[in-house]
Amino acid sequence: MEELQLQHLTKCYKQFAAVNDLTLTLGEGVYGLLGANGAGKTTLMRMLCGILEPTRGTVRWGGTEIARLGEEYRALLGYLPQDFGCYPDFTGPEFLRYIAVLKGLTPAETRRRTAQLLAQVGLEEAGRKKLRAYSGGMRQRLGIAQAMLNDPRILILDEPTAGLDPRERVRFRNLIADYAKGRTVLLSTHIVSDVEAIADKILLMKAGRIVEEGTVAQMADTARGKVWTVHTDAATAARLEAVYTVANLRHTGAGDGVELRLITTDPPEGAVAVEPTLEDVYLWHFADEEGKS
Amino acid sequence: MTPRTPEPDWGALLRRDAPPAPDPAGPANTLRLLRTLPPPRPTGWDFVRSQAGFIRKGMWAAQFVVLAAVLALVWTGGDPGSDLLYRYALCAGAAPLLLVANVQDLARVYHQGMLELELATRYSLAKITAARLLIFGVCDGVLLAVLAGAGAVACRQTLWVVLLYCLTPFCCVSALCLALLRRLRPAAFAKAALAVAAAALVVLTLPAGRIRRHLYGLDARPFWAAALILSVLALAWQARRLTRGGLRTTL
Repeated sequence: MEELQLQHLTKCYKQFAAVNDLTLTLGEGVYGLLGANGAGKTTLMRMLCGILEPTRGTVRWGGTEIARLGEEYRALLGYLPQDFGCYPDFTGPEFLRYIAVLKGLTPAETRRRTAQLLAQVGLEEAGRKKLRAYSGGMRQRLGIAQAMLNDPRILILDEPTAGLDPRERVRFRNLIADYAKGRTVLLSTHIVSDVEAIADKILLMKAGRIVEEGTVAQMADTARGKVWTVHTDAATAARLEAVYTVANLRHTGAGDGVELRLITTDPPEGAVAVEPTLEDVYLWHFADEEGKS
Repeated sequence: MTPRTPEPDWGALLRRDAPPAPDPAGPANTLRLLRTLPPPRPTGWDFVRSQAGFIRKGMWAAQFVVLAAVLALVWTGGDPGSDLLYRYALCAGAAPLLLVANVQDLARVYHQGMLELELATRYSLAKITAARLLIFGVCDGVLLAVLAGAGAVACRQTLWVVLLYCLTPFCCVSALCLALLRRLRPAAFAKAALAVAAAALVVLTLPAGRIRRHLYGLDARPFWAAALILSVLALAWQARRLTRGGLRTTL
């Protein structure tokens, strides 16, 4: 299986490095890219798609630079941008046919894939509806369908679950999990549970660098001993909230009892260590952005 | 002396090694294999044709109105005869400027979110633009021929002569414009294409009256025909290279 190799990949905007000296290999499987806003996820994805030229470093597919592969590389690629716009006068099938032309599919292949994908993303009923009348979730599903239209070897999805309701998110997860066999899928999202459910490997991105990578279990291990729960009253909870990173706050039973889930290396008295989740790992790495311990 | 190896009984072997019975799963296996093969890709021309729907209606309308207005001036003004052919040639030589004027518009993506999508597909935005330009240019030429032909019939001119004097300068200037388009960046292209069209018009207008009469007379027609053939070949070659390679840069 060919791999996507990133070597010292850097993208600078004047003095600011959006992606900073990133070296990484993406093989077969689903990679979940997690990071706060401005971490460089979209810039990285754009460079992987060949839309943005790196300031330094290279992206190679099967050992050859993607810029050199050009059309050959783009034929292997499926991409869903974060701000996915479309021609509003098209219907869903018309839009997919247009993208199919740009992707170089034959008419027969276009008909087959269009019908198949519209059914898979639950848009077969939307037939003649113009895209201007689509809801945010419907447009997002159409975006996912267009990305998969050419049966790409490399699928790059920037915030694919944004605007999807829980049922659609589950449908999307199943679709990607099925699809990923023998392919490289990179998806970024703020919804940690989506990544947790389908990603084989998590890449945690911060200030243009990958600060942590591994399976969900390996990532959870990095936060072991840093996640605590504490049962307290409302007044103490308010005081703890100001000092610690709080992953969860839950009112328990009657009265003013509160259960707090804290991310810290220095827990308060009475706190009990618990099993960390991926969300805890995320909060642990980005706690300093909130200025808490 | 080594004993001679007896010949095998070929007849018995052939009878024994009969071809196997047809495998009932064979056709299904072949179909399965076919499904795993990558589908054939359409040719560049299919892609070019598919782009026709993405040129704005307003641009088509403007193209028709401008050409019709200019040709109406040709039909109504001045004396008929060789002077009319001269005016046709001038008008046709300037017609590719319609395309030059529309390069930026043809290259534009009207919905910002589409830009990222179109840049990441197999056919690059540069190729999309090239295809749209080609369609627009071909329609420009066809429209010019149709309008000039209609005018020729209405003014009782010989149709093929009018077409000859229209299409030759049009194809020459278009071929040069396409060659420039492949090599230059958009800003430089617009200026260079204007210069080419201006040069063509100067070549057509500069000769003195006597020479001009010869240029549009009966004797000159074989030369015009030869120039038309050469320019059509050059245009086809440039168009082919443009659709295969796209433009030098995204616009």
